Amino acid sequence: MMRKFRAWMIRLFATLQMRRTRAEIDTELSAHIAMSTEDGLRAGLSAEEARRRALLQLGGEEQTRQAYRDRAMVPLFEGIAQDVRFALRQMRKAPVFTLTAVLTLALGIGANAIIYTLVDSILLRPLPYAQQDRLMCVTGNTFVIAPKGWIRALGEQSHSFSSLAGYGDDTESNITGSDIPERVFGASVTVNALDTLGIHPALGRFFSKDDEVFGQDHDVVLSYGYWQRRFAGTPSALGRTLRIDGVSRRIIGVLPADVHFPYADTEFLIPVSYNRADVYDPWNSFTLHIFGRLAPGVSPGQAQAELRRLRGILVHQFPWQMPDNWASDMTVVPLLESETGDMRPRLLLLFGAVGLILLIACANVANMMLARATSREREIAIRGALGASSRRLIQQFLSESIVLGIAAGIAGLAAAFASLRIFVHLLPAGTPRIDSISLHPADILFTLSASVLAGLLFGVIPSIRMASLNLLESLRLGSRGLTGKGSRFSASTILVVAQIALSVVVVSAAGLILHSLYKLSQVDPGFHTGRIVSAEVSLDSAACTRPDAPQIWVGGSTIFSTRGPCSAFFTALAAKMNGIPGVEKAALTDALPLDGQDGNYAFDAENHPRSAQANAMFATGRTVTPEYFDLLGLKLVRGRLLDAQDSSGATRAIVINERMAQSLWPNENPIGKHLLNVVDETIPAVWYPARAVEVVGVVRNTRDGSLGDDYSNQVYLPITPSNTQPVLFALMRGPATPAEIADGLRRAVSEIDSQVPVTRVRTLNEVVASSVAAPRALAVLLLGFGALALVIGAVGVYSLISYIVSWRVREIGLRLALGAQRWQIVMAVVRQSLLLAGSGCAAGLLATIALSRVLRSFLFEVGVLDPLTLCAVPLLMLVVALAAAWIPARRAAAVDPMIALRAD
Amino acid sequence: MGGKTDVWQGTLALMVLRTLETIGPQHGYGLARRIEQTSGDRIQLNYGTLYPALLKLEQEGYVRSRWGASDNNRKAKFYELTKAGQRYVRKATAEWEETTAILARFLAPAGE
Repeated sequence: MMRKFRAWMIRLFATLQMRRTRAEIDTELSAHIAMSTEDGLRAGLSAEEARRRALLQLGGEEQTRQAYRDRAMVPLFEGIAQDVRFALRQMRKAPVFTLTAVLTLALGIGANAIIYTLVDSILLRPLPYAQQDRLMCVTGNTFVIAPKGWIRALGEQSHSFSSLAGYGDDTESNITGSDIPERVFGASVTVNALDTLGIHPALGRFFSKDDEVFGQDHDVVLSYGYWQRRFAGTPSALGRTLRIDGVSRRIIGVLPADVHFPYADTEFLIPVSYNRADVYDPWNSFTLHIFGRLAPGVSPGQAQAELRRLRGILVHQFPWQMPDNWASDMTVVPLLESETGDMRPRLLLLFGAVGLILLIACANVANMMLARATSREREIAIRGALGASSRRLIQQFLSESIVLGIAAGIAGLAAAFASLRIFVHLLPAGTPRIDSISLHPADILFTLSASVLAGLLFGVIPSIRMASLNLLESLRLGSRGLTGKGSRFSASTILVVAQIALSVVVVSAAGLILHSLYKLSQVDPGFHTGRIVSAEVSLDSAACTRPDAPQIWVGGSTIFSTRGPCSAFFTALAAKMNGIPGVEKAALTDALPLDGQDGNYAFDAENHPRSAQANAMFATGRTVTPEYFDLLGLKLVRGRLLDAQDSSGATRAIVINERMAQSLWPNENPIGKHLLNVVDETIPAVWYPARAVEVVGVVRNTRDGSLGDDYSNQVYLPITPSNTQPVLFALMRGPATPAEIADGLRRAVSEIDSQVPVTRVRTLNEVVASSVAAPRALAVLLLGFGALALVIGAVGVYSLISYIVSWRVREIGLRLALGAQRWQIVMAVVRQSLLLAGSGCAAGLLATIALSRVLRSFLFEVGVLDPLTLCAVPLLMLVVALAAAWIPARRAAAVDPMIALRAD
Repeated sequence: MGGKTDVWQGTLALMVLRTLETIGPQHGYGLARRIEQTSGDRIQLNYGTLYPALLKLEQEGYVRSRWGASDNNRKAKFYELTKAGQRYVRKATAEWEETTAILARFLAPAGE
């Protein structure tokens, strides 16, 4: 066995060194013949007879040589290697052709390599968990987050999941230990979460059942990166204490290096615990995303069916009645899919675009090869006449195109490798798994396969054509006929039209998305953004609560019944902010507009009685200081704005937006109407007049979530001593630069408390811009690819037209000699180019319209039949066609009839 | 049957190895002549088949080759036995003797 293998390896190696192997065989055989002949001479034969005998005894020189070679090398590879050698020689002979072809293809392949790497890194590569395809994310029709009691109840009853766990949102916390305080992202997880993932600690241990007990849960697990950064990766970090938001937690373990859970920037995990003294504790905080590991042999569909069944039973465990439609439907999707979210369609769209670009490049090179085939007709005819079968010829030509494809593949891969970082930089900051984007062997394999495939694709038409040439005719004519035959260009024409059509598809898609990005940027957010700087001021979350104060859940975030020092801090800050040099106006809020972090305000409204089974209404809620409205230019429509008296907590005032007023009380005066926040209700739909707030004013609508979203209900509550959040955003407007304002704010903050960090300093314009980061990244990438498609398409038109012109030099000369005007010649060439562009455009626009279903979801206020795009793209193509025809047309017009007609 | 015998399949390798063992390093032509002489000119070797056979033995590691000069100072490839080749010859010889001994019993005149 080993010896057979050894023999194969040696033969393979010899094949790679074919020239040397062959030379050695020749030397040995000729030595043999010489010695044999000498013996014959010694035996008294004539020289001729001696040689004849020697050859006879050998069994024929050529036969022996062939048998010897076949054993020395691998005959199949020998043929391939020969073809490759020939192909390389051909490529060297035509450097301009080779360079153009390789460059065109390399652009297409490079674009594919990059986008495939993104697709692979973000969408395809498995998560670093054991049997990660068995991990599922559970979402409900009315929720993405659920209370811990719900997860525990489902986990206890479900047979289709071997375990169900939850993780909270990524929240920033102040960490103080020995040295400077820092803001670090962390998340809470149920104690079984890490075991559900099937991962093992790099150091120490993960959470145990003990961590589930309130009061015994002061443990923390660090990410590998944070452990490296903060503790230089020393094992002695275990057992040390970190103060996280004022709570001392013991470090018990470190996550593996490749695990970033639940979010890319999560640096620490704390356990979700249960307070046994409080029956509401498991149920009143809706903070956890649910995921689980399927039991062996259970399909996601079966698990989903079981969860839907369990819902009807378990919903009664809530200590109050839940609305009928709450979680009435639950969906089970793979964790990987749920993590990649809306990046998936965008990446797939880009992947489609670069796929088209590769096709365009292939069509281009196919055309160039067709043109070249014509100039090689004689060579082919001679080789055919010498006995090369057409199968052998096709193999030869395909080898040429595959070698070309692989050369382009290597060039494209190098380009992709060099520019990958630039493309990653173009992606929006929140892109999932963005840190793990890298060129893996699988991506290289994909690229090289794509190159070989591309080589086959663009090689097959020219190959068949070349191999089926009419040998006799080619040899007899020996040179070009008087006129170019129309049929000889038909394949090329189809290729160029297809190429233009594909370019039109890519460019139109880019145009449509660019147009909708423009529309998006024209959307009025409803507030001023000019010269406004925002910054996050973060107290420890414990700063708003006195030690041991019971926690209450309101509006999706914790507030506390007894207040700590945070209210005093922010009151002092609000006063100081106005004194910052270069700041004219300043305000505080708990949620920036268009930041995607708005709070939910669940409410019942006066005159809108609700049945116990129905959901409450929702609005986007934010708490603000009175200056907020003026600072952002929020116009008052009715009533009054919030004032200092509201901030003191003496009133129960609330300001709502126009849309909410319209939908709740159309044709009525909303001022004086009452709303009731209902999130912490224990008995549903009971109206407590004493806790209701009164609408005092109505302001203009502003955009929430993203610029593309419709207006939603909005409420503005005053920041009062009882509802102050530990993290507030400072908004400041003034003539000073953002850096100066930020410095002023830092000074003001440290004068009150030097331990409080000021982070995320941004202008409000940046906040708004980042809300359209994803569509902008898509538009930028697609525009780039559109330009690429256009350039390659233009090269295609140019090479076909100039080829046709060079082919018709004699015809043109004859026409000129017969009295045609030069401008007529120019017109004929240009007309041909425009005809190509026109038919390509028509086909391309039809294809774009056919693809409208794919495109529609990416567009904002722009239809697929967008008149602007549908006019601009064909115009652009016409310009390109004119430009591409320009040089060939000039050359055609400059033909000298005397020279043209005399030539060969 | 003709006067001279063709070489049976599979036995050529053994003849080559055994010859190399006896005479030491030798080039292809010399080896072919020697095999013919050893057989008492009773086998007619098709020299052409010798080279692929030698190459196969070399690829499998039973012989090795190097370039040298022939008697007439001509560049020629010399083959010699490797250690593995020696072991193979010993083993194959033993097997061959066993086989012929068995066959001899069958082919011996009956009734003795």
